[in-house]
Amino acid sequence: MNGNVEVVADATGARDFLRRFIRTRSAVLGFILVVLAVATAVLSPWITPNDFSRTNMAFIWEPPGQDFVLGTDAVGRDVLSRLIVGAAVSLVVALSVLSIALVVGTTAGMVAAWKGGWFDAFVMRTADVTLAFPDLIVAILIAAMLGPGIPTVILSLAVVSWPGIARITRSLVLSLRSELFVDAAIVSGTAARTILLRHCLPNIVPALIVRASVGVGFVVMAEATLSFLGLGVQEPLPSWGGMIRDGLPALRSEPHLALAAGTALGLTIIGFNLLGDGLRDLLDPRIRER
Amino acid sequence: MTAYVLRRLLGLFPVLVAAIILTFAANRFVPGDPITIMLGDQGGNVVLERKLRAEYGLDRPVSVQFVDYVSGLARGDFGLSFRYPGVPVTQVIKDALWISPLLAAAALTLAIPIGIALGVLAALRRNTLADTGIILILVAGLSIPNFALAAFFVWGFALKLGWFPVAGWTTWKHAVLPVVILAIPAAAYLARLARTFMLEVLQQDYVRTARAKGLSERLVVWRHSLRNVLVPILTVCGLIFGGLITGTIVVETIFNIPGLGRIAIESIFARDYPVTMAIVMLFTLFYAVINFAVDVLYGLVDPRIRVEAVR
Amino acid sequence: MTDALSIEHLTVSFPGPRDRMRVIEDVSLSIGRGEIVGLVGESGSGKSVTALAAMRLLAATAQVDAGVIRLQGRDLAALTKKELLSVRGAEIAMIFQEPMTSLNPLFRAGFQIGETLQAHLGLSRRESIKRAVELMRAVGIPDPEQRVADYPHQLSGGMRQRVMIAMAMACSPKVLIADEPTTALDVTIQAQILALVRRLRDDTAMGVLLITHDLGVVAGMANRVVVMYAGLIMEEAPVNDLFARSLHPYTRLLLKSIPRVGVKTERLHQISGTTPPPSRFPAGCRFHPRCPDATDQCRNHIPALEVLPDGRKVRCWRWRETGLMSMAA
Repeated sequence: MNGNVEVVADATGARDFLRRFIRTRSAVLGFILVVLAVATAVLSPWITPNDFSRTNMAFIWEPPGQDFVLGTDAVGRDVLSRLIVGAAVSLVVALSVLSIALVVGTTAGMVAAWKGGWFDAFVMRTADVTLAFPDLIVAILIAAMLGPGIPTVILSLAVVSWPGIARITRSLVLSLRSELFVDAAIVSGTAARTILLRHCLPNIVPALIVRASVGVGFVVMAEATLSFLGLGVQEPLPSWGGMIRDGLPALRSEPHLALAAGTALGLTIIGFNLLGDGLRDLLDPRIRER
Repeated sequence: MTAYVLRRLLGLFPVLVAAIILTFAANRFVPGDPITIMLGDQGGNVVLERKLRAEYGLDRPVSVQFVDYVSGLARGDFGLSFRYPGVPVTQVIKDALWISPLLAAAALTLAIPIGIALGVLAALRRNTLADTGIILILVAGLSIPNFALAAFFVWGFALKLGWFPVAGWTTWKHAVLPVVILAIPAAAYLARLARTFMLEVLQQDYVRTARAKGLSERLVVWRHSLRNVLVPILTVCGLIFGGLITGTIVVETIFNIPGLGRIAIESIFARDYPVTMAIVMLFTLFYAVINFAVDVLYGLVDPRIRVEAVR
Repeated sequence: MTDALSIEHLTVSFPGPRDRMRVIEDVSLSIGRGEIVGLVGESGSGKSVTALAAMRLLAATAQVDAGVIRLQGRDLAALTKKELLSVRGAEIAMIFQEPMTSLNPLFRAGFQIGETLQAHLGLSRRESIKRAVELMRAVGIPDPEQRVADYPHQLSGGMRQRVMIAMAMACSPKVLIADEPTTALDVTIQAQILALVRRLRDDTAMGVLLITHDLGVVAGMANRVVVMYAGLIMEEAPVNDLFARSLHPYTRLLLKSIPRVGVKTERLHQISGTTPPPSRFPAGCRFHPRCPDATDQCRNHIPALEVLPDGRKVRCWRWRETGLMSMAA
């Protein structure tokens, strides 16, 4: 069907264009949401109207109003301020997790692909076994040993995230290895480390960016889940997951806490997922229209 | 086929071994001395202490403890609870054992048809408003965490509309919201995949052949396309079921359902490590076995694996 | 007598980067009863599009801008959806290039053949399988009683193509379209498959549209040859006349590039350049960038398709001066 392949490559009909536009629009929407979340987090020291940890028993469970835009919680703390700081907490955690996972994952993947042999087998086996455990279970294991808290969250999420990155890195480096420019570098006696860092890494970065942007949403959701269960961020630091937990018992008469935190959480993760999807569409080379 | 099954079976072992070692380690190398905690204000009672230590096997060398642990596991004995001194772990989790898998299974039964139907529909109506609408709904379903969904659903359906009870576990109505909330992310994930697979399948040569034979569009979609979508979707179901099992942890906590998940969380805070580890083992086992079963099922369904190639 | 298949002035367009682009233009060809017509051209020439258009199997984005397709005189565009489905696969059938991917991996060979019979002739499951066995025997598959239960991945490439042929022949079509049926097969199998098609034509007097990029294939099979390039018909002639004396420079170049046994060549002759995609058809004669004899007239004006007194057709400004090459040279 040779004739058709070329035609399809050129074809961009009205329908396809519509889809591309929508896709772009949803990616733009994702971008906006992400920017909002990140800005909130970054600017948090300056934009919180009240001290997020200040309790005030005279004002417990205030509905949203003049003094407290989103109301207060069970001990009189301002919901909006906690929401804002919560953004910072979630994103710092997510960033830490991703940094660790990226460093560990890319190193493991690159070395495994380069060295081959038993090291490769070992790394891949470990990755497989790690992936065989449901992520929440891993978190529970670590929480049981270390106790709940931010280090637990970061450690368990990093443990769960690095195998995927290692796999991608490994397969990319393996395919790069057969490229001409890598051969040239090897023949001219360049050290393995230089080859990996200077030649391979830049080619891997797009795939990693895609993977990371899709991964942030997952990490934020996982951290929120752990905090919801009480295994994650501990008081007095606010976290959206924890706020939902606090807000659930009062859902009947004071829904604002849980619903506000739920909305913030939902929108942020939707934003990261839309952005991640959009980036993937952009950076993935494609011949045929999906 | 047998080679395939054996290979898959072999793949289970490293996971089980890892699980056993990790849970044992977590059990033994915890901060604090569980016996001391158990004794509480009876701390001075040396006789009791020695008795408890013997009962829990903590007076023996670690290697012996490990062997005991493993042989105990083979018998289905998870040791004794710390929180309820002297009570076997199996006793603690016995009644909760069937609840979590039941919730997960119910959610899966709900998610599979809905997810596949949505995904296939989106693929067939590709690039139309329906497709885009469905995609956006799917993103939302995947992105909003189940407990956030729960907050909205409980507020909306239970409190404001009064259709369902808020929490508890006595009537079938109590199961509706938990199962639905569990099912939503699973259905969204399945739908995304189903859409992608369906779009791919529709591009395949054999679909063109089916049309060239003059088969009705209905036959082309239902017989030739759908089958080829269901086969790879099956492999994902194992993964999804695993996710559902862990999802029950959250859902049981929210709705106060006396399942394994809720007990796991409680036991962490109560420092009842044997119970926690037992549940971790069980969940991991569920997960691994389900994946294995799905692999075998896949082998049965795809003739390329089931039947040998060129004679 | 009405032709088995008659394509008249067919023009098909696809959506392009800016606006629609015409993939094939003013394509006319006819296949008489019992005739094998070879449709030859490089990839991208539009031959497959023509064939798919005849079956009305083009993608939804494709549009037939002009032209009529007649199956034994019936205008295919005038058929209702239901009528079209009953015609497709029964009166006009098609086989494709890649037998592995063209068969559904999840269904047995016999079932896939029987499907056609069930759909068009209303046979029961059991009857259709029995007929499938006979059909498989008729296309030369050894041990058809065993093979009928095989899955596609259990069969060799040649066998799969035979299964495809059996599927196509199931309802005794009046026209068989074969789109590069042997390109993906070994050379020895190629000859067998082509011989099979020839035999079936002899037995049933069906018309065959044999699409290929290989003039060698056409030499032993076709009665007439149509040469396409960049969506246009460049030449049409009875097969022997085409080989003895081709009138179009493109045909001549195609002929030159067939490696011939016994003739020593320095290197395989290649035609320089590539077929332009529809979005970048050159002005004037579409072949001029690759034509050794192009003039200014060729570069600026598209020649029309001339019909010669002996029935041959050629689309070239300069065929009278340049068209004297013989195959034997």
